[in-house]
Amino acid sequence: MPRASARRAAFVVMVALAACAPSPPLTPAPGEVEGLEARVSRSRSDAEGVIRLAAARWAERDRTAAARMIEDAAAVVPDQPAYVMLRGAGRESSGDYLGARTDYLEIAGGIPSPLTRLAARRIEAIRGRTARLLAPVLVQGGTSLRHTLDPSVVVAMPRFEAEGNDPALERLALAATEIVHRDLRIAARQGLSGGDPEGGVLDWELADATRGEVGPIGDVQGMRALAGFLSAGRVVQGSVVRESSESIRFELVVLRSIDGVPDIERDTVVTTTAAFAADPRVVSRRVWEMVLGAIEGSVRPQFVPASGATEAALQSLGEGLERMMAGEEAPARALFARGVELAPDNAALSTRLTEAELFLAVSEAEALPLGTEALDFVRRVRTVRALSSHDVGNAPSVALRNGVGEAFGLDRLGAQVFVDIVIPTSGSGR
Amino acid sequence: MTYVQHVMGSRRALTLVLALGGWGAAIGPAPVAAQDARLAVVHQEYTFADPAGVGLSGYAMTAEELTVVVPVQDWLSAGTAIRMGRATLTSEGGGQVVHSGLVDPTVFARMRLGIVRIVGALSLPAGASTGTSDENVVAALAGYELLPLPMRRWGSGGGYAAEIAVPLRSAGIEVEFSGSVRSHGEFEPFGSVFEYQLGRELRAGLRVGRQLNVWSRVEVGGWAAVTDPDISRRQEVFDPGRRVLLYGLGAFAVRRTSVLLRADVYQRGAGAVPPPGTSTPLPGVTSTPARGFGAVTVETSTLLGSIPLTTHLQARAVETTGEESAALAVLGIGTEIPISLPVPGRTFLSPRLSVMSGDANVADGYESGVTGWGVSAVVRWEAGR
Repeated sequence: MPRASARRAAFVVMVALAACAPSPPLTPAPGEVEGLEARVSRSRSDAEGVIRLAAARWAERDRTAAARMIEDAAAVVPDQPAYVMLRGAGRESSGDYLGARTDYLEIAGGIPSPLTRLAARRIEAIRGRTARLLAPVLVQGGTSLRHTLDPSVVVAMPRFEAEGNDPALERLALAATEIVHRDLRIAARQGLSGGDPEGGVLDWELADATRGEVGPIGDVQGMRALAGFLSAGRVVQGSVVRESSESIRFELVVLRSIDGVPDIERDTVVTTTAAFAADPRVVSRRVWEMVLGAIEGSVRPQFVPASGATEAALQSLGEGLERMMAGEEAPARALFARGVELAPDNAALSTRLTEAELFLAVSEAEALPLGTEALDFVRRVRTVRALSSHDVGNAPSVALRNGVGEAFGLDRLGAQVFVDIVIPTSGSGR
Repeated sequence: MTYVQHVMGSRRALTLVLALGGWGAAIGPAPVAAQDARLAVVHQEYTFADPAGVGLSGYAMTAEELTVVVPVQDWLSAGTAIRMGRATLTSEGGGQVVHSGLVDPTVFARMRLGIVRIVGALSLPAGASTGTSDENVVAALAGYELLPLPMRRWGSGGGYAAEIAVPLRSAGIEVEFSGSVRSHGEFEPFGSVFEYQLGRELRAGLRVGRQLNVWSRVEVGGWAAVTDPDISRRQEVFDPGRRVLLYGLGAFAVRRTSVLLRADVYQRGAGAVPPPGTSTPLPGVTSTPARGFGAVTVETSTLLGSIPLTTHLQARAVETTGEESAALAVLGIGTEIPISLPVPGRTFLSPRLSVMSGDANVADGYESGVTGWGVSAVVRWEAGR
């Protein structure tokens, strides 16, 4: 092989090897731990070292040490999103859901990246838990909700109540709440301007937990109190009544505040359980018209087509929601999975199944995906950091005046005429 | 503030420090952020294929830089930059002339008051500002924009500089307005023959950037400057004209490779001597034609394991109206290696190797090829936080 070709081939091989060279894995080999400890003790800002060392502690089942390591590092370098994310995961796994939510919200509000998407998913995963913890804080006036939309168009909808002592009807009421709430949120996001990612429709779990904190007061009074605590301009209170073995009736009460004056509207939708399961849009449309349809600028939404649920699937959905509200995510996951088998196209069921699986991921499936994502974030930001700084070093440095060179016309080629004696080295000077 | 905003903020602050403190050319790619120190050594050599055409056969420069930045308060940091260099010009006949010494040392403070960023710098008149005529010829060539030299001048009488920048952010777009002033003291370039003072410069800048996501960013910006005439013997002797610089850059990361694309255009207006009868001309000072400069840069950084490999490709071109046109390509390769020192914090060594090749057409139809090479080593220390 000619020498030039051999060099070219060697270069190609080197480039190929370089492209394939793996990054060090998240969990260090046992022989690496000592070196990582020394590295981290020298610099707390060495995010890769801290995360990999925490992963080693986690792998050793010393989760307390792993969490403390991340907590300490986050306290020293609060700007490191990967630390904040992992601290949230640590708090979540120890049951501090409000603390975890605070961390995840900080990440989710950042520049879009895999980490922000992960944080958004975790916020969804712990939504039920945080709603129950947040509600008493709201009622005690410890915090206030801030909406990006005009509060007058913010909607709160606690769960639909079931009339009588009928467990099946209670599960149906919960399933109906979930489906109508989902339709309403999607429709509001499409139909209202303002850019609120939630469309101005608050989590029904939060509204429900807050409703539970308000206490036993009458419907309208309770709805007004709820509106105040949640800074909502509109409250929907639905209930489900079984009229016969097949027929059910939805009673809908809507509280609106128009120029500060409360306005109550009531309506009724009568259908069958099977018909509602097959096409819940009949209720969703009515709720939309009552709460958001009259708002100036709102656009009548294209509701998502019915997704073929059955009564049995709705019962699984309702029972799964009951379990989740009781903090029993594992059986809830099984119930949602059963519902998905019965109604594979139902978006509410598949979303809840995903949510339950995500919730269980931190406590059951280790923090490996979280740690890997955080480590990848640290590494990629580091390369962007190096890159971003390069334009300083590589920006052509033409800004400074070479004063004498400029004024005497010497700062260019062809102007080098010497007037003094030049020390000759290999010949005479010019 | 996100991590990336923090990084970009540090980079902007460094830009200000470099521009204000007389450190127009950064040595190597690494930034100096708060709580950092940096020691850099750069050497470059150029050889001209047709010495008779361009009047010299070689030019070499070695520069050393030490920069230290210390945080004083959350909103205030201070630092100093000390730099020295040695340039050697080899004449057409092989004789050599050397100019060497300190650049005016600089102390600076940078602060943040609300959203406003302020940088103040004071350069002490301790640089090597005087020499023989031949040494001034050597020093003058450092200002030639075609060559990516690490230093553009030596001592120039010290002085002060101040810059104020107001960054605004709306709908994900960052807009930064800035204004600055630079003033110089007197110095004596040719011994005690006469004193010379560079004119005060006022500069206005605008930068518009958008972080598309964590991995990519685009930015355009520039500045325009007007300069008072240079003064010698209390008379105006040279009006350097107006100057404008525009740039655009895009940076993005794909898997383990980060890429920077950057384009720069710089226009230096014609320099003029005062009309006859308005002041006493300074012998040797002449009107100079306008000069344009352009550069396109592609920089990549690929992580090999945890070590980055950087490549640097830059095309530079200069045109002086009616006098010369020249172009130069620069290819560099480097890396950044963590090194262990018995001090807290982290230390990195960044070696880099560059080669250059180009062609210059000068007045009277003379032409010469130019080739060169350069090496640099930067040791950067970041305090542990």
